[in-house]
Amino acid sequence: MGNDATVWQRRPGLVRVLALLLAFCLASGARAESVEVITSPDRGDIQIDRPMLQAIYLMRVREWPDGKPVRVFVMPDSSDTHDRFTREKLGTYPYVLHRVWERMVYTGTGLAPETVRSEQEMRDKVKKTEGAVGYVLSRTRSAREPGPIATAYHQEGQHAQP
Amino acid sequence: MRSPERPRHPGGSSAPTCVALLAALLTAAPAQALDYQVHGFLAQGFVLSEGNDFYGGSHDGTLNFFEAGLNGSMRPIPKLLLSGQVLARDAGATDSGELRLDYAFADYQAWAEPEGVAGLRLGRVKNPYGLFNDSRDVVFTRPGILLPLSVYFEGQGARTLLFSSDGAQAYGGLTFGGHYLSVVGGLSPSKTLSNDDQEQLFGALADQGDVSLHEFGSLRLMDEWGDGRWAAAASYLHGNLRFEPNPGVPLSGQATFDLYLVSLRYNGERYSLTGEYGVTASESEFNSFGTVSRSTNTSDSLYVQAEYFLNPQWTLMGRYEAAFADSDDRDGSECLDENQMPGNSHGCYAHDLGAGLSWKPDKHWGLWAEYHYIHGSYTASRQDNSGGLDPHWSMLLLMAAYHF
Repeated sequence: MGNDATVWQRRPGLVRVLALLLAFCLASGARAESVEVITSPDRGDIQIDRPMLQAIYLMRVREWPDGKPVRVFVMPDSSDTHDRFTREKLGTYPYVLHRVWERMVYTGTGLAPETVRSEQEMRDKVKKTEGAVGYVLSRTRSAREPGPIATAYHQEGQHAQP
Repeated sequence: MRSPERPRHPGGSSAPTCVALLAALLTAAPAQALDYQVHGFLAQGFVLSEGNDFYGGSHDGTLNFFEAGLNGSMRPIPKLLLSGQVLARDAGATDSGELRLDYAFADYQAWAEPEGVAGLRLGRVKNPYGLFNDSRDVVFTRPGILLPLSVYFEGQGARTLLFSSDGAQAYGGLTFGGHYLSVVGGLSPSKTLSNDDQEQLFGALADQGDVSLHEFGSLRLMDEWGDGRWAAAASYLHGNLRFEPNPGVPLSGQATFDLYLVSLRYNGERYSLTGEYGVTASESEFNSFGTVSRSTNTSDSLYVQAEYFLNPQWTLMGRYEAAFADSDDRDGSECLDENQMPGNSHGCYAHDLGAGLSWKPDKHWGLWAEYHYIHGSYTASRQDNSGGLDPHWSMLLLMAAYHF
């Protein structure tokens, strides 16, 4: 303890640099974790821009441009991934989406999205279901799942400003 | 509310399934998996009031207030959605608790592009009026236990007229520079009202003949912008009610009504603000023993409501609403009582101050508590208060509901 205190007193600069480094690493780690929109393999490498994604999740469109039905998957309202998705990708809040879906269900004007319980289930269902769209939290860009799951276009820097 | 499983591939190996599969393959290539969902809700309310009764004998507390419904939607092909809902609702003298078909329609979305949609609904459709009319019987889609009664008439017998109608409804939407503009409009053929509805609207007169509804139409324009945080809407309803007397009854009459409603809503992160202002204009003509009397009337009402989200489960609500039977007589000084005599001023206006709290512990359950202090008896139900109306009244409402 005595030595540590001595170091602290003698070399405050070093500790500050270390703390800064640590903060930088944590911040860059967080930045690498982003919400990504995923679609079923039959969608190929479809580009979904923000208005299209909003139209899909607000259930305004029921079919893809090629006429195939859109099947929408979501995480529970309480999930952090869902919260980030609604804010970052749609520019809205979970409760707003939820209200839109409930109104639709009880007026018979559309089908509610299907809720999955985990990101693994999200990946599995989106992969297996024709015309499916969903989202996952991708830890790092390089660790992104390769193969049949097409990652749709996502726009950075258009985060919700409440 | 979301169905846990949505069968995507017709399964099983029974003969009918195989035949159906084969038929589907032959008639539509590639075959589509059938998408369908079933949802329902059940809500039980409690009302305790002072001054006037609400939804039955609420002076001593009443449980005469419940709502239950079951609905299904299926999408046999991407452009077609078939939906129906049965509903039972009990609300004192204003609703009977009998099972009824709330809506049942086919919705064909003829045009569907990322920039917009257009389609047609045929059958029994919900009338779009303001932000809440089309889903007013489901507490999870209302802004409280009670809808703002000033704007969404309840005690005046107009419920069933406004709710849903048999006919055609066209809709469309367009994405335009950060705005989503949408329109819904419907028309209905003429119809004779049910005995219950006739009685609600015309009381004892209903026994002397038939009441029919003509020229019924509805239209709503809406603009949503700011990633859906803002919404503004203008709604219009039109209809003509005719009373045709039984042979030998020397009475006849008709009334034309036009309803206008403007709505504005803001959805913030922690709070949501809603306001609506409505005007009802009516023109009526009554023939009694050969003497024709004509009258016109304009009533108006408004409410503003704020919701504050303490967290995703708990919500605080505050609301002020006001309604006037005659927009030129805000203090009710020209208001007439049931004997057509002046002196019943409070029967022609209502100022309602409400506050509430709701808790949604999980995705199925909801609990609500709400208190209203009301000055004026215009929004009180005449049927529930046949002994006369009190100008000052208050209500405590509780509701527990489950939905899936």
